[in-house]
Amino acid sequence: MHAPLAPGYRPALSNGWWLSNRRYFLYMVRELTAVFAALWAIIFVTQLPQITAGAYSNPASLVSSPLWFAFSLVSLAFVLYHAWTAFNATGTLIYLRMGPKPIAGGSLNAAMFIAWALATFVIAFVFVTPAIGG
Amino acid sequence: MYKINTNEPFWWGLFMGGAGMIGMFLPVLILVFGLAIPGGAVPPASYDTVRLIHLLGQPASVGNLLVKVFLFGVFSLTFFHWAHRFRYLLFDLGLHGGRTAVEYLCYSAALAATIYTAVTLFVIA
Amino acid sequence: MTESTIKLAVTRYRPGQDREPTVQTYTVPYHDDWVVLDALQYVKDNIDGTLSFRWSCHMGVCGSCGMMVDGTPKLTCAAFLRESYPREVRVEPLANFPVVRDLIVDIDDFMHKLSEVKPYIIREDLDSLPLGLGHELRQTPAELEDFKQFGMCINCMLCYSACPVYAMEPKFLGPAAIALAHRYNMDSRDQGRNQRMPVIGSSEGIWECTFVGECSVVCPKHVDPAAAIQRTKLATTNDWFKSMLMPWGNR
Ligand code: SF4
Ligand code: FES
Repeated sequence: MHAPLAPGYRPALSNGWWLSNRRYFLYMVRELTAVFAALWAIIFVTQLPQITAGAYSNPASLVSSPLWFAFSLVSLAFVLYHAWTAFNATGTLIYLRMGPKPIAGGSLNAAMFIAWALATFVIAFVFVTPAIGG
Repeated sequence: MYKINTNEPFWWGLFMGGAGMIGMFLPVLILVFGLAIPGGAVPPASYDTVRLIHLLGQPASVGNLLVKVFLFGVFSLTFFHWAHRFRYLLFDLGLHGGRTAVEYLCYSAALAATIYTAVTLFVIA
Repeated sequence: MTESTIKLAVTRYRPGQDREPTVQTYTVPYHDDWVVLDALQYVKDNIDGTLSFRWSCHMGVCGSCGMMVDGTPKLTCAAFLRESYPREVRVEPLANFPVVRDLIVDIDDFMHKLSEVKPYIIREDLDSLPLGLGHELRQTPAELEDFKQFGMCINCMLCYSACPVYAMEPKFLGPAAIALAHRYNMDSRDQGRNQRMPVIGSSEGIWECTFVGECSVVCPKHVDPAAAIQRTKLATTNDWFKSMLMPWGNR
């Protein structure tokens, strides 16, 4: 290794780099989804004892407040964006070849979306339909 | 085999598990417990007395244990997913010093939240 | 006869003379089949012979003409003036590298990292292999498919220039070096994976990457280094958990 030919000038990256193009910005939004996911989860866990004691029919409880509804709405938007980015990266992450041709990335992504639709339906059914699951 | 100088695969494994959990299951959980029930789409009275007592409360049954294990899996991995992303997020925003301290703080917070969730689900609720 | 023209705003940096880079604007003829490299060569031949930049093939093969064009890393022999016209074109040296002079950056760091990942076929049995006509290491088209895309890299370093992680952490091994390591790891003829993994699986390798994905967007050869990195993370994680759960299974 020889020394650089010149003193060398390497400008530092500004902390606002993620505002400099649309894809960097969307990347930051994707990273931020984790904050909303974890926040919603931990708040929900703190409310679980009250919920099993009937908090949803008590108008004074947190889970009956418009604040919880609004926060859940925002969280849902972020979590759905997370799901979109995560499922669409499946084909990038997983390379599978069993025969002469590898499985197309698009098919792997599609499989994730189908599994998601099924899981969503089944879980909603289990939690909302009174007759089963107990 | 080969050796690497880091335990990152462990944290990345939890992170990826969380990525799947959040994508697959958090939307429907938020939809049900954050929007549908508080928004009145599901009658709260029937819900409180019938559903969650059955699914989470007493008496213990295989069904409610499964629901508890499911919720524990989703939430704990969500926390470790957050810890992983958040430490890189701080780095991206310019916090370049003290990376090890940031890592300890983030993963410790995730561990604390996980323990709290386990206690709530399996002892209290 | 009035010829249409276009303005080039070019970054100049003369070590020993300039304290920091400055911008110099040149006016050159505009042709809609000219690329940025044509315009730079026009400047060097007709306006200012001191302007320094690197190029060789003028056909997207050698990978030496990468620069920032209007803020995006591009091969200047493939970036047409008409993409900017009638606005001026901003030409800067590749971001994230130390500038040697004007539009020329110091590529030593990348060259060093590239050699660290051993981007060539490694055989443990080389001495006992009967090489020569009729003794080639054969490969099916399907096996070629496993790595072909990652072998298309021309070492242009546009991906490093697009990578904010490399900008913040210069020790990061970076997209192209990992993509090339992956190319050889996926090659059915190669036996060097265990030698490369400690390098690319280290804390300065794949784990710095947060999958911003911009490397794959700017790559002129559709190498998709981001995919190579994510797949390597997955493979390393599988190996790691296997070695933890089954420390005796040494293969
Ligand atoms: S991976 Fe693509 S962008 Fe990076 S050096 Fe190779 S050809 Fe250039
Ligand atoms: S001059 Fe060779 S790639 Fe542009």
